[in-house]
Parts: sequence; C-alpha cells; structure tokens
Amino acid sequence: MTGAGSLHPVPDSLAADTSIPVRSFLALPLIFAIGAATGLGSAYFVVRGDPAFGAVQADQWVTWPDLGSIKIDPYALATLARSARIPLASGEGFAFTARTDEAGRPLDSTCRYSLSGHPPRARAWTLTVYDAHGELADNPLQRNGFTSRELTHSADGSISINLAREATAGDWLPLPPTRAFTVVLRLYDTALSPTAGSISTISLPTLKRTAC
Amino acid sequence: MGRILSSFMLTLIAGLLLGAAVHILTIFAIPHLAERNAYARFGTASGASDLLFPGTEGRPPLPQPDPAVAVAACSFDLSKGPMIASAKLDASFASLSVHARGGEVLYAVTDQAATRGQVKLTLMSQAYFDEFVADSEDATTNVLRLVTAETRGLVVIRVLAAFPTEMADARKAATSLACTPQPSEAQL
Repeated sequence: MTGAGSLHPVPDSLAADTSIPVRSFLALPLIFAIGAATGLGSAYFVVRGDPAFGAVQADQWVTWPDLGSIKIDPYALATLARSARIPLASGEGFAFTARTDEAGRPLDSTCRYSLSGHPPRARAWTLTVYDAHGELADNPLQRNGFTSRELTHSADGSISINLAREATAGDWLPLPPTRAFTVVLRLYDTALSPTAGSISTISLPTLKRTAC
Repeated sequence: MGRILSSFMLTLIAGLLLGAAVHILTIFAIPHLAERNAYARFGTASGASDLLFPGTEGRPPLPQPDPAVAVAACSFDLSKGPMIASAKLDASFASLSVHARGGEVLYAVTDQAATRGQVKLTLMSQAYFDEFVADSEDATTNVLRLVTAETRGLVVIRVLAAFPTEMADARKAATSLACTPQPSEAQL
C-alpha cells in the first residue's frame, strides 16, 4: 500500500524502509528483552550442578579431569564459583562420581549394592556416600565412607564393600535416608591420568545392585 | 503479512545474537562477581589458616567434603611482596594446593615434597621474580617456588586421616598451615 499513489511504483524493498523507524522503536526493547532473558537464563542453567563440559566417563564413573588444572574451561570455573567447591588439583588426585549402578539404573538407597573389584592404583583412596543434597548423612555409625587402609582385602587383593540401609556382614557402608544418593571415589596421589584417551585403561571397582 | 513475519524474525535473530553475547559475558564474569565462591567464603584475613573441615560450627560448610580428610585454608596477597605458605605434612597423605581468586588451580605439592615433615612454598609475582630473584643465585636453589600472575587466592591443605582415630592429628596438621609475608632479609 505504501507506494500506491506514486507514478512509479516503489519496489517493496524500499517501501519497507519507510516503516523501519516506527518498528525499531518497538523492536529495540524486544531485542533487549530476548537478549537478557536467553543470555542470562542459559548462563544460569549451564552453571548449575555438574560442569557442563569436559566430563570423562568410564562405565558408571565420571570425572572432570581439567577441574584441577590450569586448562579448566570458563563454564567449569563458573560452576565452581557458584558452588564454592574447591577441586582437587591434578597433582593431588582425581574424584570419580557414580550416580548409577552397573546397569545404568539410578542409585536408590532402598536397594542394596556391592562395590567390588581391584582397588584403584593410588597411594591412598577414599570412598564416600553423599545423600541427594550432596551432603554427608547422619547415621549411628558416624560413617559415610572408607579409606583404602580401613578395608579388608581378600587373598587376591580385591575388595568388597556392602552398601545398604541395614547393617550387613563384612565392610558395610550405610546408605542415607534420602532415596537418591551418589558415590564418590577419590584417588590421592595417583599416577593415573584420566584423559579421554586413557580412561578406559583405568580399572575402577564396580558398583553393582545386589537386591532391591 | 510476510513483511511483519520477516521483521519479527529479524528482531528475534537480533535478540538471540545479543543473548549469545550476554551469555558469554556472564560466564566469564561469574568467577569474579560470585560473592560466595571459595575465595570469598573461605579466605582469611590474618596469616593463620582456618579449618574448613571437619565440623566448624557457625562457618560456611565446605561443599562435598571427604569425611576422611581434614581441610584448612589461608589467603595470600602478593601485592605487597612474596608470601610463604608453610605447613607440617606428616600423615598417610597430605597435600598443599594453590587456587587463584577466580578458582583456577595454580599449583599443588604432596607431602612427598616435604623435608623432615615440613613443606615451605614461596609464592611471588612475576615482577618480583624478575627484579629480585631471576639473576640471583636463589633462582637455581632447591626451593619450592610458585611464580604467578595472580595477586590473590587461597592456599589449601588436605590431610588424610587413614583411620577415624587419626582425625585429631590430621586436624592439627591441617591447621599448621600458615600464609605469612616473606621476611625482608630474603631467606629463600
């Protein structure tokens, strides 16, 4: 309609220009609103919980090997800053987290589990159970984990830890009252270097569901 | 109709481009703006270290602590000259790590670097190293030295208690950490 009254019909592309000042008046606030909402929103979501990138997975265990080195990415840095976590330096060791059993099912504290296999190669290592909020749960035994020195080793050097809410024979680790839980294996002073290429050669014990 | 749609698409694309820029800036800004990051929460004012774990009532809790490891930290500030982080590392496993204010790990040593159960790490700025140390004999001496571009940060000590009965000793070892200015008659 814009060029209807002129002798030479104005091409559409030029006609559109006349309306831009009016539109941009409305468009600018909209652009800022979209920019702020998507920019801040996506930044907020990406730095919640675990670091978004750099995870190295080995069966049920996951670790972020660059958290403890200068190679840490900006997203992981922002994630750490929000949670106030102090990561293990690569020279100190590595932390591996499990949220699923050997079949990929989420860990459930109403089930029973056993962690077995050969102990990881490290000068010292610890196994810790955290509740759904990532905290140490209270229990009568005051026990949320084991150190490598506390465990009984079988004749072939392997270990076996029972994880359940009710007491079991052998090395027993109580599970928290919250249904979801996580298990963290920390290897201190280890020669292992869990980069993407070598992680499959790290033999970590397996967390299996034994009853439910 | 097509014109309205295309101008709406332009607005949307411009908004999303702006969103991408905001996203990137926000990610880079968080470590410096976060008022509750590790440095802000656990930094110390004096040279002595604070115990972060186990159980310190009334203080911000250390996220996801290893229940078998005593952790303490002290702040460093290299703007007024080098600082010395020292600790007794006498345990089944103990380590010292240096973290920048923004959260990057700068350096770590384990108790295997300790002499007679004592570890002493000198932290200094690149400018100080260039001016006073680089050409002196000290540059080659066998000291643990971290030359860093970061002015502020945390020194963190972790001491493993292999058995629960060792936790009292581990706490004592952890709180032996101190961050003190290097004495002016430089004894590196």
